[in-house]
Amino acid sequence: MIGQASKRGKAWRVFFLALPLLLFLISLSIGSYAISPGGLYKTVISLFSPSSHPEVPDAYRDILLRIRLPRLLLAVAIGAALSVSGASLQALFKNPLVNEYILGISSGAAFGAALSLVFLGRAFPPQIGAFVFAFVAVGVVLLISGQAESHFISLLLTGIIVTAFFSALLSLVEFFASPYVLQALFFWLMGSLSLASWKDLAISLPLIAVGLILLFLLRWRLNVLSMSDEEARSLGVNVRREKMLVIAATTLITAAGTSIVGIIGWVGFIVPHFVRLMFGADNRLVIPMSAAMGASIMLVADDIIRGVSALEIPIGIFTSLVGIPIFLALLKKTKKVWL
Amino acid sequence: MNEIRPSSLRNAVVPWGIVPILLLAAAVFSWAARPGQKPGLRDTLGRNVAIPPRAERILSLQPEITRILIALGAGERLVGLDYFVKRNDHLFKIIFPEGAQLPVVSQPDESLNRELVVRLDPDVIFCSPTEQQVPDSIERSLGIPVAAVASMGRFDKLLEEIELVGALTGLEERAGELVRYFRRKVRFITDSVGPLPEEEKPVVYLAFWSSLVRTPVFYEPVDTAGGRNIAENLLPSFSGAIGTIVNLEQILKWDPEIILIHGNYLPGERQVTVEGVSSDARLRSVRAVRSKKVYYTFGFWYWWDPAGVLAETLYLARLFHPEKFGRLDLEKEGNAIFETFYRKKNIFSTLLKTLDFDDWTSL
Repeated sequence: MIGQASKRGKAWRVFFLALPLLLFLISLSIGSYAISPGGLYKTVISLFSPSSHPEVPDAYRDILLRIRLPRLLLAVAIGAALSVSGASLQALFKNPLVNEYILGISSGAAFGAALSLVFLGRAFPPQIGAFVFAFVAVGVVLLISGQAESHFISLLLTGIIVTAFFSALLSLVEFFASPYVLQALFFWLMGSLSLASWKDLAISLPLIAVGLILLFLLRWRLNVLSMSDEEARSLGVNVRREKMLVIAATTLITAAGTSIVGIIGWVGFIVPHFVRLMFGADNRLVIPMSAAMGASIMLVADDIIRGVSALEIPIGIFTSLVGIPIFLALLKKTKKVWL
Repeated sequence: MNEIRPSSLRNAVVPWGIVPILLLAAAVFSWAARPGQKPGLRDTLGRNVAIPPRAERILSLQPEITRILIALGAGERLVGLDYFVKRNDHLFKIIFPEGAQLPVVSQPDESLNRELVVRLDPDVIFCSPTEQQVPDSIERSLGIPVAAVASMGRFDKLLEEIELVGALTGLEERAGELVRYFRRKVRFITDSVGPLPEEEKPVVYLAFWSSLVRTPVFYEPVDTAGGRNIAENLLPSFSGAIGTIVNLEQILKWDPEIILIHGNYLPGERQVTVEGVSSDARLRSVRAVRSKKVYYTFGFWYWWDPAGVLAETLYLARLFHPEKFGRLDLEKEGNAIFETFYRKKNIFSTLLKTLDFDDWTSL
C-alpha cells in the first residue's frame, strides 16, 4: 500500500514538473490570431528551414517567434521566479506569511524601475534601478528588524513600513513624472506581459536563471535553515552566509521580474502554499515544484487573458482576482497551512 | 433603589446622542445644496448637476473646457487651473499667456487643494469624467456644483460643450458662431471625401497615450476623414474613458493599412515613435509597416482642443485620400482655423515648430 502511494506521489510530481512544458506547447497555439495546429507545425519547421514551407505567412512566424515565444518564456520565468522566491523566503523566515511583497522587495523594485523609467528614459535598463532599490528595501527591513527570524512581528511591521515608504516614494515619482510618462508607468505598474520582447528577456532572463539555479542548489539548506540557528550551525551550515545568499537570490529574481512586468501579486504567496499542501514541506521538493507550478499558473492565466478577447487585462489584476478566492477556499477546506 | 446598569444608560443616551448628529448632517447637506442654482445639466457621467444661471468665476480642471472658455473670450473668468494645462499643455501657453498667473489647484493623481478652491470661490467647477469619484466628492465637501463633461472623441459632444459653456457664460452668440464654423468645416471634409463604400476606407489603428497597445474605441476625426478605426467595436477600459488596451497579436490580426501614433508631445517625450514602430520586428508583417504607412497624428491629452481637432481631421483626410485633398495647404488652413477660435495669427505654425510637427504635416 505504502509502495503504491509512493508511486502515485512520484507520478504526480513528474506530472507537475512536466506540466509547464505541456502548457507551454499548448499555449503556443492560443492567441487572438488563430493559427491551426497544422499551420503551427509548419511554422515551427519553417523557422529552422525557411525554404521547407514557403506558403507559411510572415505573420505566423512573427507571431510565434517574436510575440508568443518571448511572452510565454517571460510568463514561465516570472511564475517560477515569484513562486520560488516566496517559497524560499517562507522557509528562511519560518513563516507562511512572508513573501517578497511583505519584505519590501517588490515595492523597492517597483520604485527603482519607475525612477529609472521617469528620469533616465526607456533607453536605460530599468532592471538596474529595480535591483538596487529592491536590495535597499530588503536591507533596511532586515537591519531594522534585527535578527528577523526570531522576531517575526518586528520583521512584519518593518516590512509593512518599508513597503509603505517605497510606495510613497513611488507616488512622489508619479507626482513629478510628466503625464505622458505617467500613462506608461501606470500601465507597467498594473503588471503586464503584453509587451514582452527578446530585448527585455535578454537582460532579465539570465538574472532570473542565475537566481533560480542558486536557490535550487540551496534547496536542501533551506530545510536546515528552517530549524533554529543553533541546530543549523551544529549541522555545519554557515547560517549568516546562507541566509544572505538566499535573500540576495530572491531579491535578484524578484527585481529582474518586476522591472519588466511590474507588480504581479499573490503568485509568490499562494503557489508555495499549494505546493506544501500537495507535496509536504520538504524544501528539496518545494523549490522545484513551486517553480513548475508557478510557471504553469502564469501560463494558464496568460492563456485565459490572450484567448478570451482582444483586450489585454493586466495579469497582475488577474492573478489577484483569481488567486485570493482560491487561496481562501483552500484555507477553509484544509484549516491549516503547511510549513 | 434600582441600580442604573451601563446598558440602561447606553440605551437612554445613544438615541439622544444620535439626534444632534443627524441634525448636524442635515444642516451640512442643506448648506451643500445652495439656493440660487437650478438643475440644468446632465453630465457625461449621467449626473444631474445644478448649475448657476450665469457663471462669473469658473474653475476648470478639464483642459477641453479651459480651451473652450478661452475660445469664447471668457478666459478672464477662469479662477484656477489643473496642473496639466499649466505645466504640460503646449497650446495653452500660446493661446492664453495670461493663464501663467492663475493658481494650480490640482496635481497628478487626482488630488485637489480644496482649501484653495474655497478661497477661489468658483460658481462652478468642471472636471473630466475619467476621474469618476472626484465630482461627487467635491460637491459633497464644498457644496459647489461640479460638472464632469468631455467630448469623448465625438464632435457632437464637443459642440454641445461649446454651447453649454456659451450659455453658462452668457456668450451664446460667440458659441453659436464657433459651432457653425466647426460644422461648416466638417461638412467641407465629408463632402470632399464623398460617400465611400467601407472597403475603400483605409483601415486605421491608433496607438495613443504613450503605448503601442492603448487605443481609442471611438475617434471621430478618423471616421470623418474617410477612414475606419479598427478598434471601434471594442469596449473602453472603464466608464468615462474611450481608450482600451489590446494585445499585440490583435494588431497583427487586424492588419491595419495605416498606423497612427499619438504625436502631441514634445519630441523628447514621445514614448512611442514612428521610427520605433516601423523598425519593430514584431510588427513587420503588418501592412502599415510593410508599406511604410506609419504616421503621427495629433490625438489628445485630457480631451480635445476644438481648433486642433479640426486641423487634425483635415490632416487625416489628406493622409487617407491624397487624391482629394492633395492640394490642401495644411499649415495655412490650420492657422485660419486657430485664428477663428483664438483670434491670434500663426498659432498653428508656432505649434508645429514647438512639437516638431512640420516634418509630418508636410507629407
